[in-house]
Amino acid sequence: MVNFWFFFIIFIGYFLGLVLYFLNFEIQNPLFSAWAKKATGFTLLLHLAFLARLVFESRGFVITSLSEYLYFFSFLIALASFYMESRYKTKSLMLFSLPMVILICLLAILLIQKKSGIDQVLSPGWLWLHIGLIFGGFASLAVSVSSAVMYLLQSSRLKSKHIGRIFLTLPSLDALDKIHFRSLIWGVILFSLGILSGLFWARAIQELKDVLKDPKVILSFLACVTYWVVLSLRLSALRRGQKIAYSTVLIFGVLFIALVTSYYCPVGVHKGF
Amino acid sequence: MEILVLGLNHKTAPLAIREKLSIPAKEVPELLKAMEHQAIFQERLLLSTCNRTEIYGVGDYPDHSVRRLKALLSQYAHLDLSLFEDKLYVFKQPDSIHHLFSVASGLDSMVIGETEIIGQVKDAYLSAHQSKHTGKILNTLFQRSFKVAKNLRTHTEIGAGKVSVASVAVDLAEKIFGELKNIEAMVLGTGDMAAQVAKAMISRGAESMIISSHHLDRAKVLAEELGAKAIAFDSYEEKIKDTDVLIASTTAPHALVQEKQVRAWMKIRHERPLFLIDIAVPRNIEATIEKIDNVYLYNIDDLRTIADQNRVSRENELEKCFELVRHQTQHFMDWLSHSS
Repeated sequence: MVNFWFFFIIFIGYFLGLVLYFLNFEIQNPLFSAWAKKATGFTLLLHLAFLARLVFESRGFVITSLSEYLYFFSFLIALASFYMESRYKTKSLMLFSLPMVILICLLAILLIQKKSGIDQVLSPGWLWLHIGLIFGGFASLAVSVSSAVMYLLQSSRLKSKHIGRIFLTLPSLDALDKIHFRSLIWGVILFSLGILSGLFWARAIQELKDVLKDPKVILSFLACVTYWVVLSLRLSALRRGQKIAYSTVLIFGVLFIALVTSYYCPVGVHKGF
Repeated sequence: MEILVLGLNHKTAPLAIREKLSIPAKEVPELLKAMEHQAIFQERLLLSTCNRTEIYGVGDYPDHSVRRLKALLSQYAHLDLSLFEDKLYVFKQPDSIHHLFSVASGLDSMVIGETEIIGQVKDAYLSAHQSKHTGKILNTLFQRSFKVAKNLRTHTEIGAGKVSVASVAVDLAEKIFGELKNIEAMVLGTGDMAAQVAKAMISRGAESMIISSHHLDRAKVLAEELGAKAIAFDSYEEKIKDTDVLIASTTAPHALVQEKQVRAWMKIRHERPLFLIDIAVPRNIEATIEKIDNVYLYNIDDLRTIADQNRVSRENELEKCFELVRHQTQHFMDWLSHSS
């Protein structure tokens, strides 16, 4: 019950941040921008404090349910987006990342009662490396999706020649491409290393044979390979711009399905979270 | 003590009168001194731009100052007062305060919402302040006018979107490439409009520019004026690999740039975005090119439409802006009555 209220407070904090970011986007008032940053920054700190409390209570960083998994994941997406927004001075990146964060927080709240039955297999070593890399990769890929959506919006405005508020508020295609490309590279590398470390962990606990029967692993592996194809096209400059942005969004959709698949299709190593 | 403004602008006086009464910056201190000698106001400031000449003053005998000031202006311009007296406006407070706030915010400009005026007001204020012609009231009034202008820009959309074809083109380029200092621009042709767009790009940071024309001599002249490089028209495609913005403005009666050609360019450019600005009539760039990925094509009508939309959007903001100006005028009047 305590967790429910914590999750709920965080959800409200991010929601408030989103409303303020939206108001700033619509009204273009620097006051809203400053308050949106403050609200989101404060919620991030609160989120971190609650995570620290979880660590303290469990005497180690243990993720025992899909809910906690999503809770941690939403923190990383918010943190990565917040950092990228400050780093590249793009006023509206959070506006596109926060809906994702809020959706994941909402899922975390809805799934709070569902405990997984695999606590016993969570042990230090490969597992933490696996989780850390996967989460880091996921967060970075989430930022790449936000920037890809912004890129698609801006380029569609430019193509359609209907210049409006969105055109004026969004950053340049060049800035969005930089954020998108860099977060995509980091995301794909971290996520791939996460999958590799997961395989090592599975081998360490003698589960390697069963890993490939897990729908989460299959979908993640598929997404990872597709990401590498997209990244190679971008790196070799055969494709750029809208097509790469569309691909990023679509693959992330697959990855999101992979994220929740263990709950709706509870088989394999990731059963229950 | 009353704040007063006397002047004329593009709405009240034709260019022939405005140019006679336009006062170059270097002559402003001298004229302010002349006003001081003739006891015209106790505090005074002169604002002179291509569209307006205005004198702001604070004094106890406004009517007396206005009479002498009109005579002084007539003497300065070597123009009989009867020829321009009906073009002059005189506003007493609070209208004079409202007027200054409107002027500083660009609401009274020929191009509504333009920002150049705030720099000109600041220069006029600095000039009067340095030569000790301003006192407590004008200092506070002008400082407040800068804040009002900033507030209006922040809280309304009076400055959103550009209203000239050249500025719209530059805005679009900035939305594609970010800062313009790293882009390569090329101009095909040497028309006036192309030169305007090129100048606007340079003023916003573009450093590298190529001018290409069938008439190399004309290209060289324009290139020299812009600090660009001139090349023969036959060799422009050799430079296209590195070009980010192509401005076409030749008098050719047919499309010079074809879809097939641009598809080939995009391959050698590794799909980097390409901004094509076709300001020629008849058009120099095939319209079907706009469907190619990462290619953004705008013709003269597209740019004009955006400029017109922005102008309408600024005009729609006027009521909101004047409401803010009225509020700030009242605020200043309150301060004035308190301080006196």
